[in-house]
Amino acid sequence: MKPLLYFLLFFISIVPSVNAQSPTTSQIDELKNKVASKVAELKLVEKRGITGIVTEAGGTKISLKDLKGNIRIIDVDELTEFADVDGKETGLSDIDKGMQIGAIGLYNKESERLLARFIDEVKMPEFIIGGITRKDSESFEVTLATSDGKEYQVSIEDITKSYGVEEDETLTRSGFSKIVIKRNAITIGFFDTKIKQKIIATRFYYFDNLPLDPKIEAIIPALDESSKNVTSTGSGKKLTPL
Amino acid sequence: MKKERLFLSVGALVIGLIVAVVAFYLYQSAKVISPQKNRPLTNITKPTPKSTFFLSLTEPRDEEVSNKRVITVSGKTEPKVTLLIYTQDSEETAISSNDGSFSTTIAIAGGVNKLSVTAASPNGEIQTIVRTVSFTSENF
Repeated sequence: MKPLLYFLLFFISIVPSVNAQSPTTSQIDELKNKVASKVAELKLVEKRGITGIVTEAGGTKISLKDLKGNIRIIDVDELTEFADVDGKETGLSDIDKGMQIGAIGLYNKESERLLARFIDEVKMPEFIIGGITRKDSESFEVTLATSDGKEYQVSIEDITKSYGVEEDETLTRSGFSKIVIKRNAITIGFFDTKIKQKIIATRFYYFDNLPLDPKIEAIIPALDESSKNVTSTGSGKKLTPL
Repeated sequence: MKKERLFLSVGALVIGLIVAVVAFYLYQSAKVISPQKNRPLTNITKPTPKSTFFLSLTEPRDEEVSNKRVITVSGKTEPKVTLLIYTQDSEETAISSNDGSFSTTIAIAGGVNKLSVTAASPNGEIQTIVRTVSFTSENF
């Protein structure tokens, strides 16, 4: 009977000491607040990557116009790493207005600014989606009309990879001769530095068995009419009558 | 005397009415209807029917940073639509299923990529979505 009594006495004496070690309500609340603020902080900041054309650079920030035409602010600090188009290490002083860059870092949803960790100079090609309205077999060029009423001369070069997109989702490699007018097409390439609206295609895709987008079909007469009013000088330059 | 008064009152009322009718006639005849208001109703242009063809992307999110070189591209459009998914370096094709959903994978380059998804419906309508998606294996 005595051991049981001793055990009970020991148990009674230990219970208050265990209670004394457990956290108080205020401590629990404090911990809860800390966890909540950390969670909020984590939700407020996320990893993001943006690209665009630099509009301003200086101090510890870069402004750029992104793909949607919005002005974005990028903050830089001592941890930000810079690289040029060849991957060579550079600095903020090498970032100039008009340069195309890609920035990866931590985006703050509240301030809508990106704290960049990596900034690279990039040469992003243009993606033009439209309909083939003309084809010139002598100059190996096709004209792409877009739904917003613009026309682009697409130069199919030796380096250009052209593909027909079939209805069964296969991509068929094809040459210039296979390209037919009144088809939807996508070109990826870079603008010619001399002739405005001319694209040197690196890749060219056309939807082989599908008709032209009705939106583009509808604007072709207007585009044809405007092209009739342009006189060719024979030198590649076009004169628009006053 | 009373008769004279009555006669004068009736006369004045008749003269007033005649003046009012003449004034109203002159006012109406002086009105000019502009030729623009008079144009035939056949010239009214009909609004072009709105396209119901749609394309939406579930993933990747715009400006997403991936730690994998191969990412999933999924979304929804109309059933049996041909899709071309392309970046500056690679391309993939897909066809939407009977419920219009699609999912495929594409390899992206290191750093920031421009990713486009173009859907072409059987009647030739085109819809395109452009997203920025990045790949890095660095921890930050």
